[in-house]
Amino acid sequence: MKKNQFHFFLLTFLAVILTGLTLAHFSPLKAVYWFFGLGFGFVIQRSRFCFASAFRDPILFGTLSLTKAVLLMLIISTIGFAAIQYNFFVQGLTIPGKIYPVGLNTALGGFLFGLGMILAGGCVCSCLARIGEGSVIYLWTLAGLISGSLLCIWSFGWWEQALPVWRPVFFPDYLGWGPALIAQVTVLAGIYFILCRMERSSIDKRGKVQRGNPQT
Amino acid sequence: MATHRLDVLGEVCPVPLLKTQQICRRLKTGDTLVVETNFSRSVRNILDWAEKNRYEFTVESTENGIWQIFLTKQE
Repeated sequence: MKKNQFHFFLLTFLAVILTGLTLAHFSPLKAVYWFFGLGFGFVIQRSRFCFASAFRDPILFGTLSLTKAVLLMLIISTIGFAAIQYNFFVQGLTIPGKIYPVGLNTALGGFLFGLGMILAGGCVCSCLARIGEGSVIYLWTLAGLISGSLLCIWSFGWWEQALPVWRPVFFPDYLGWGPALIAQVTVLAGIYFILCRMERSSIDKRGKVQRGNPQT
Repeated sequence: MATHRLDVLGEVCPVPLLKTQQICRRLKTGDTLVVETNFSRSVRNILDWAEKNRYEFTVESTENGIWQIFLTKQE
């Protein structure tokens, strides 16, 4: 039986508005963070967006829809972040963003993160969405997430010293802002169109096989 | 025209779709598989895969946070 949860929605909605107003009273920026955070959560939950699926499903199931969604997201955020960073650059301020050196620690961290993501059955944001949906088992994932992150922050300096690290590469420093932006968007859009073609050709092939052998 | 059932309640991605694929391989044309899951991402995974592999499908939300997916093997 499906239970009507409208009164829960109403209560939560009121709590959200009240918290937002209280935050706005003390620090308006925190209220903006609060509403944006809730907005992101809503989009992630409704769209079932999942980075783990985006990287796992093409290999495991041959479905590419989320991989394409991640690429679209990267294209949009490239343009958005370039606008923000350029604004800081023009004003002569330090450019915001995670401009860190690349090294073996990056690859190793990526591998460990990927391992955790597959074991948990979701990326960080979709695990948080699961908790919001009421999945109790994902509280364990959250505990792992927090302890793992703390461990990483605590030992970060050691990893950078113990493993070979190259100096940070920030494309606009080498190519200029316009060409760097165009290059990155072109490469991402190129991958997107290759995936679209792969998706179409795999469906065509399957169709032909099915028409040739009706008993399979 | 047999109907098979698969209960993957409590299983997380990618287990529901992997088990669905295993059973679907054994289905004959016209057979139906009913998959029951409480993992929202898996519902989308299974529907995406069913559409790509030409299964007829419907989905029904039977309880809060529980879905039943009906997959019928096409010719």
